[in-house]
Amino acid sequence: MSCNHHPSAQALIQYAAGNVAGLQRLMIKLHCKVCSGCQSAVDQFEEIGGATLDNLSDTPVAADSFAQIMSKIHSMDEAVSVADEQPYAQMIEKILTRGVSDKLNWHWRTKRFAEIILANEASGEEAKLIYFKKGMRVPQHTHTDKEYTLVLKGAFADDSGEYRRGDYVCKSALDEHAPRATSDCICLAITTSPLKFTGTFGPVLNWFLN
Amino acid sequence: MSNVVAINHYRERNSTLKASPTAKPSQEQNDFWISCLIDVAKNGSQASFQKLFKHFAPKIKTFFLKHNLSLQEAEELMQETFISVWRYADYFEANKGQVSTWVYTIARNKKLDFFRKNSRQVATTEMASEDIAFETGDQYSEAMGEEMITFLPQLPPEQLEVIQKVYFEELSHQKAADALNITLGTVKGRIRSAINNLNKLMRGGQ
Repeated sequence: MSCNHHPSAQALIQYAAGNVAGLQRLMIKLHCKVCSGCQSAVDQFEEIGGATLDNLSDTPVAADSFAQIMSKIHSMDEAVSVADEQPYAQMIEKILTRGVSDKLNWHWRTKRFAEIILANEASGEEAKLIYFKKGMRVPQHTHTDKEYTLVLKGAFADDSGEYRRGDYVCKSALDEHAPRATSDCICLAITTSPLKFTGTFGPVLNWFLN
Repeated sequence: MSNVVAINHYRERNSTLKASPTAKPSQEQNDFWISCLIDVAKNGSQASFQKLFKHFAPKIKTFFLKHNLSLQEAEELMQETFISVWRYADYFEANKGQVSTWVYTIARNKKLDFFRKNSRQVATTEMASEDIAFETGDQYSEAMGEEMITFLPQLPPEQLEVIQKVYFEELSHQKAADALNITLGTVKGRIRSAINNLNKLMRGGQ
């Protein structure tokens, strides 16, 4: 499967350099899972990281450092302890890779639109899983800063095109759009500040939803 | 005739890469690290593990110090990195390239884990808050072929160097300018060109 909408080179470099954290990092990681081209780009950017590491000066390690490492290795269970990933990571990955989205605790906002608020990141970004049923239209809106969306399942479209599974979309304050689901659609959405509705009922919606 | 041109172009590229500070370790060196890793993975060899440790551990410690961690934190994370090197040695794909790159990704992930557990913010590179307008924004829309494109060698070395300084060494634009002995404007210009070039090269453009 190939995607049509990708993170920019800048976003992939930041990712490779470890300057993106939290759910935004997860978003790029998941995109790369289904987009071999972006994965290959990340691999190449990571080589810059490897070369940078190799050219660093040396800092003396503790005298018994190696012995400590060996003793920690030997005292650990063979069973690799489960990496305590960030919450939600596995659930979100399952939706993308296996289409599994049942048993989720959706909050239905309307008959055709539901969401799950994910823990807010310390940086003030807001992250949600959103579910819109086929045909659902999100009122026309812009963003006060940026909105990142990763399509996990299904598809949606706006004036600039259609976005399918794996597509990575970034809308900025300049983009006014009214997305509609072209099939039942689940997205991971991160906004760096609240949406601003701009249509006729915009002020009312802003008041209700924000 | 066109072959000759291609070969010359290739040689030229190779020589500029060797001269750049982002130059990779030599093939033999990397092959040696790969053989050490294989020995660790297959035979649980402490001797080979120690060779990797001697070379990489002091650099990894520096890596963590550069990310504003204390000496003690840097030592702990370096040790954790090596525990992962031991554990996941058999996950290294020798055909995928550099051992230093693989070790780097482990250390980077340890840093991110540590920051998350301690609710520390990752340092956003100066880029994010700078007022440089990129034509392509944060997203790039175009169908991308399935085939892998090795594009990085096509980036002019002076642009690669700036990317390394600003994103991977996390220097401010001014410090990158000082380190490279060029003006602040040149740094900004090169970043902009590099990003624009990479956006094209990544998608198979020239």
